[in-house]
Amino acid sequence: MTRVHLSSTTIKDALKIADNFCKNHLKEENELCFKIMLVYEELLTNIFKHSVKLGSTFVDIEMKNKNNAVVIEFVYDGGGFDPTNYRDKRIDEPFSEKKEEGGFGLFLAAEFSKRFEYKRAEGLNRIYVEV
Amino acid sequence: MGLKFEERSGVLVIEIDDKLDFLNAKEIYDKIEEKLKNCDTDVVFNFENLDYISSAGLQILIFTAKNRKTLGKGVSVYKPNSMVDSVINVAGFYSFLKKTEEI
Repeated sequence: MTRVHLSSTTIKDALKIADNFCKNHLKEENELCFKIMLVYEELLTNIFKHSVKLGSTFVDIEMKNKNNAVVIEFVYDGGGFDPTNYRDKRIDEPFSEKKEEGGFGLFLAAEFSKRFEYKRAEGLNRIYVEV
Repeated sequence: MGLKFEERSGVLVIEIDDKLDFLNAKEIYDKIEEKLKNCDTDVVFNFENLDYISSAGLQILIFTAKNRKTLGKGVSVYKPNSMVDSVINVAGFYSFLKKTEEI
């Protein structure tokens, strides 16, 4: 498990955790690594982006192989928000010159995961993902 | 990160190589926005050498499509790999982007 301090670690450095996992454990698994990087990036950036609003100071990250999947777990402090139960209104907005950009991050994380779960316990948020 | 602009047969071809993610999307977005200010043609994204795209990259696609729509022009995607294609498809972007077989 790696602890990332949200105020002093850059997203660039935190993204390397997944990148290194793929390089060390999943050579030649290009399609799986694509999905892992996508799900990881979307969830990690979401945690960083909302850290001030939710009062989050750290996130513990664990990645491991489990049977035929890769498990990614994020455990972080701060206020509760269930990313598995959120759909940004911009996703369903029809295309037009005025369509707002963004809103697809959590949607993609859900779409490219086999399991995507959230639990709040003892003041901490836990996201469990299988890719 | 590789970003190239090329005007070919009356179309602006935007080639993005390697990755289009949170780390480089803003820089690429700004460069494309600047380029489009002086361009009134259709746009083709050449993704032949693009390995990865995330939601940050999708914002560039939707921005460009919106920008071109105001001019009555279109945006196409050329040779995305299967996973890039899957992300674009899952997001529903092929409702306003076309795929092209040639540039």
